[in-house]
Amino acid sequence: MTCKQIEILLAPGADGALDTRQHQRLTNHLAVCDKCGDLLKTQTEIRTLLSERPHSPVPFGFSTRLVATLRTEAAMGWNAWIDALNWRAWTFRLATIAGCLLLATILSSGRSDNAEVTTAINFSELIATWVASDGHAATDGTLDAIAVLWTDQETDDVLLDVLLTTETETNF
Amino acid sequence: MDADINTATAPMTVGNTDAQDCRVDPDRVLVENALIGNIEAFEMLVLRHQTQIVNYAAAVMREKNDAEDVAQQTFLRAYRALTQFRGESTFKTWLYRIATNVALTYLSRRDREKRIRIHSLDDDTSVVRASTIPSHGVDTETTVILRDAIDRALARLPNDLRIAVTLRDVAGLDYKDIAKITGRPIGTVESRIFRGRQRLRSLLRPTVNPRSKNEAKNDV
Repeated sequence: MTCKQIEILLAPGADGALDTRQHQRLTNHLAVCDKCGDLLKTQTEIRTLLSERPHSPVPFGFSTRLVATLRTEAAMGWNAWIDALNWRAWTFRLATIAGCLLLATILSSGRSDNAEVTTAINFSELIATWVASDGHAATDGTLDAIAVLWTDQETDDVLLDVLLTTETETNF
Repeated sequence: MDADINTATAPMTVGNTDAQDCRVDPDRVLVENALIGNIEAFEMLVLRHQTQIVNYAAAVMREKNDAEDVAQQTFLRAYRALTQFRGESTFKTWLYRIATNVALTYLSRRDREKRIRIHSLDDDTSVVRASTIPSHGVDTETTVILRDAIDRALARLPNDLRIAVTLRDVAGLDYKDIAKITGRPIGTVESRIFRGRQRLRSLLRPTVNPRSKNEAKNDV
């Protein structure tokens, strides 16, 4: 086996973590390779040195602080449930949400809806006028157009012609 | 020399065998109690593992002020995620996995901050900080010097090598557990430990050499 192939066995070899077969392969190689023997020696030395690293002392009050944090978290967990049942808290939160929704509704419906309402009122007034006059009291071209649309007896070409040639107050 | 080699490489009968998977987790009962909301049971787990986790964090973190934070965060996350612990590994191995993830997060954050900062902290500063960790244990000058020498050398390794070497040589975990913790194949773990130790040799030369010199003298 080459040194490169043996290299992977050196760290576990220094730790005594090889199985019988791997151990035999390593031993056979080391018998003829001083370089790998030195590498194994280094591995053993460093492992020994690191395993003798003096323990870092546990910071004072480590577990006490930790458990205190856990208890606080646990208490906050219960408080969250109690808070969920608190109608005052809910009222305040909902009031804010409701206010925002109302404002959003007003702002979003402001322009486009007003135009539609105006159109609808104008149209209904025109219809009412046309109906009241029994279809004959047309005072302007718009009523003629409505009359044609209302009767719905004309062809599409006629309707288009009337609409294009009529002075309209509203957009249909 | 052959005798030394044979001693060091003697085949292991317990370490990497499947029998290890059948081992009973000594923390199981405490974990079950903690799962039903018993904080005292979790406190027992903290007391049982705090020394190991604090030491692991201290050895892995380059900024020593972060070590306690990493250890604290490890236990906090473990408690919060206790329901996700399925018992596929021991609680200790699971804890080390969390500690590794927390440490890596801190390390990457520190690396980002370092890149942003114009003046980075030098090694001497970190040595001073290491000795300022408040403690209630007896810490003689010799132990501080030795520990700092090792920690400074470890700090010079890339994260992946440092974590592998620390888990093996400082924490004393076996290769199978390290593979689980790091999420890497055992072959990768073995390679990282080999490379990490080789690099540490030159970094720890003043600490290692006296012994080697004596041995060399004896050989002559």
